Amino acid sequence: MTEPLAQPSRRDFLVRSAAVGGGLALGVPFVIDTQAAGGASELTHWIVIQPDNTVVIRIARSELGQGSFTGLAQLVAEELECDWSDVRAEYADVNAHVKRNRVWGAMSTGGSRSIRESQEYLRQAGAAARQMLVTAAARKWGVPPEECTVALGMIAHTPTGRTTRFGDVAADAAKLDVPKDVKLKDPSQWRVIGTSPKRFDIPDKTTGKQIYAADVRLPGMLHASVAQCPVFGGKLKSADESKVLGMRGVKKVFRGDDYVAVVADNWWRAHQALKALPVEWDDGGNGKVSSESIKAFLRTGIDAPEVPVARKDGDFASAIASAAKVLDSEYYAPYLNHATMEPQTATALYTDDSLEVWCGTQNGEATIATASETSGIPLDKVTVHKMHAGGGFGRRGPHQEYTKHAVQIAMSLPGTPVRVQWSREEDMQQGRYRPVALVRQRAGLDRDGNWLAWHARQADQSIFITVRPGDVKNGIDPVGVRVFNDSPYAVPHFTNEYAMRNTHVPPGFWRAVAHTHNPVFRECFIDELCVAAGKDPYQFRRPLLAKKTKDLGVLDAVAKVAGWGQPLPKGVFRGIALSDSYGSYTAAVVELSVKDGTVIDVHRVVVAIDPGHIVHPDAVKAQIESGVVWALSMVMYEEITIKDGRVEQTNFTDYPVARLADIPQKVESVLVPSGGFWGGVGEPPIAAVTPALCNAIFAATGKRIRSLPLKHHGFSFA
Amino acid sequence: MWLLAVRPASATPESLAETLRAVTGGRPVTEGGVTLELPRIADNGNVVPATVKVASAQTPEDHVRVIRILSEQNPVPLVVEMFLGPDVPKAEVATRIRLAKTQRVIALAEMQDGSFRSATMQVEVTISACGDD
Amino acid sequence: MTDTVIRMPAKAAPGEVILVRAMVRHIMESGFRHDNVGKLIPRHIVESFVCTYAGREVFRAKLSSGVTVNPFFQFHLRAVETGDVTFRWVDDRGRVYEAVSRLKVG
Repeated sequence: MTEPLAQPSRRDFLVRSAAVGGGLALGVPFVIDTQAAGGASELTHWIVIQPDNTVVIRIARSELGQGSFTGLAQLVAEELECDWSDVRAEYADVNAHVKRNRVWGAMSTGGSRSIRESQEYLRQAGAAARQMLVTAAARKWGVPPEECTVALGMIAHTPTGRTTRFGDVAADAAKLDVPKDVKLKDPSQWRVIGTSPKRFDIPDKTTGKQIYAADVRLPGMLHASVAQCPVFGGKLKSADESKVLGMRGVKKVFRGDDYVAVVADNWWRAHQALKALPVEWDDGGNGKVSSESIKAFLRTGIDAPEVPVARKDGDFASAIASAAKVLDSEYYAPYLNHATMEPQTATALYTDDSLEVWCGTQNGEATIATASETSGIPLDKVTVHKMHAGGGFGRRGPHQEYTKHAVQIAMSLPGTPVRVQWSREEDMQQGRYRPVALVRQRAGLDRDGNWLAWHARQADQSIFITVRPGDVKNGIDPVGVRVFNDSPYAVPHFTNEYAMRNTHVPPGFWRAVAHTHNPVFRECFIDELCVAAGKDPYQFRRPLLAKKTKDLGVLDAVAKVAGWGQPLPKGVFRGIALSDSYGSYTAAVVELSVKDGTVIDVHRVVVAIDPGHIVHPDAVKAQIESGVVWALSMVMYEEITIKDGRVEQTNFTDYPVARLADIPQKVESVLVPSGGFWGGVGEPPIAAVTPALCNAIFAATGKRIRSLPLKHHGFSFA
Repeated sequence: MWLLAVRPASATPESLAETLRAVTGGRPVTEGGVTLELPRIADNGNVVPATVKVASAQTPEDHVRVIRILSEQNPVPLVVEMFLGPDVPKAEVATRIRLAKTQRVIALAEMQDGSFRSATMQVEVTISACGDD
Repeated sequence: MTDTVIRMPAKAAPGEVILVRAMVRHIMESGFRHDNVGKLIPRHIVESFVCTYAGREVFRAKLSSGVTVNPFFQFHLRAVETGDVTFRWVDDRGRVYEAVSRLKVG
């Protein structure tokens, strides 16, 4: 990542001055002080209407490139009946959120839930505001509100033909009480939801105008590069600052409990000095852990005599004894890093009684809470400037170390803004990794090749134990067991066991979490059963889903569009898989050819998704396409290995990810929203694509992949 | 056969009610006269500073005997009981508590005449929100 | 003595209300955490804390696992006579922690 130079460049600007009046014009998502700015009126805390009819919709979640900045605004606009071209979006101010008693609700952005968890109260807000505007107009005219109609930001009194714009009655409407009971439109009446307006975040991201947290520059700002103990859980013993204080631009060396930072007048100088700084660590006792020792530790879970049972249908032990055919397999998946394009970064400005933080957080509340707890400054004196994140994927929500670092260092330099920027190497080695997992499965087929019995024992590292230990019951991580304990397949005898095995490597929520590897374990094992039974994998699954109409719906949809069953050109093979997750249902078919037994050319990926309702179809397609990239990258390339207690990988040179050349020729999105519920779309596509790819590879080569990534099996992309 | 843990791992509003009943003996609790200071938003709930102030003259006729903090969602609803001596000049205490997840916290003051006053606050624990669901 | 931290004034005027802060270093293992193989780690907490001064109990606390590691309490007392302010914690394994702070009044 090239760092901006110390000299002002086109991207250097005074962030704070941009916020006054011109914020939105620069595409910077700052809060306009709407009460002061020329007579704008707040109609419910979600909507601000300006006299010129501009509608500012406040967004509580974070834009990570997934389109929520736009989609959430659509939910409000639908009921509000404004003209979409008048709509602007801005982040709800986190400090105001605290002062107004959390009026904007949850700010946490993750779990594919921004739309599905906000949709009801956002639509209600739009409907309430519309009602207030109509009431105000009706009062002004002295007519009953029922005689008025609303469309495109205008209110009309039908009998007399009088009209007025939202902007003309907003001030009066704002004085009214917010109605509690509002009727929402039937989905058949939607005119904004279900369309794909231009997204608010895309233009600036494409032209390079988008400002990220890493770009923040303030007058007098200093820059810091951080090194945390390379062995997780270790502590800082000593740092010999005399060796670097004389280096050009270096201002100070800051010591934390488990990290050291060098502060300088530009980041490059800070980082060079950090690399030259002699540091001693107390490794905390985990200095001998390796990927091999971790695998052996996982195996103790597989081999343990008794482990917690997460699901038990029927009686596996007797069923397997009577099975005509028995299959065994063991699957493995390694640690993975988020590797967000923007490494972890935050800027903080601390004084005795106030604190400002700039970062691309996935949860504004987590940032303000961390900042307050770290500094002791009360919540209502902390300001968090939420910026669009250069990739979130679950890295920037629950883990706020970057905020803590910036605040702690800023506390030692009161009045001076301090920007903490982790290097790429630091970001790679101090991640919050998709956990490692080892799964042993056994299945029994009857004489006719029907799936009779299934046993799946997981040796799995728990994420919840580190962030939500109260939700871990009986030693079972409620997210880690997914795909197994909520499997939709009607297998009469099924036992799922979960052996928790936590290492010192810090786990985190990696986009799709347990739906990254568990679907591979399950869907590829099902593929093995199909081969053993001599059955087609699509037809084998169908009867097992007879009672699961939505699962069956996406499976049938993807098979239809992919032309499953129709002959393929010579040398082209395909695989299929299904997984539901985050309230939605997805199925995928991957078509590929393999040259020389190892070079994979993915021709076509077809993904069907049923998320109930769809707000922005293009955004859903984008999530499918990005999910395909995410899945291909994970399956082929990605792996974090541990040696001497630390992560071995340092950069994209040794942690390769998918590149443009790896992308399939065709990605087809099959949107089959069946209505009546709200499911997520950010993560679900990944769950189906990863196993479909592995199954297609088996069809092409006869090679069954049971441990990821593929590169270790000699494969590469064409 | 794997034995499940005997004790439920989280307080439910029901067991909070039972604890309240046990502590108050069914006597009425008046909301007010007590200030409970907690951060509105806590990062992970491990260290949450809590201050309780009771508006009381602290005379023999009007003083606080016990200040209790109760939790709606913790495994143990009665978090702490603080008994003030008869000569304590100010009915103000502070401590640090753990909150398992987003929940309501109740400060309960027992007066010298056996009457009860309370204050309630909702605390959002963000890390429990960040985990996906 | 190093296990405990007491913060209160050493001197006070007669009748003055003084602020007392007391902390003991203790792991306060809640009994609801799991170890690295999913087994519950046994509970180990401070259960009681008492502060006495001028022959009377000023402050007493009954702690549960919901009190944070290194339990901390802050309260007030009225300075009446020169004497020792004593602090005593007992945990669920019977270990006793003690501290004393001299208060000069007058």
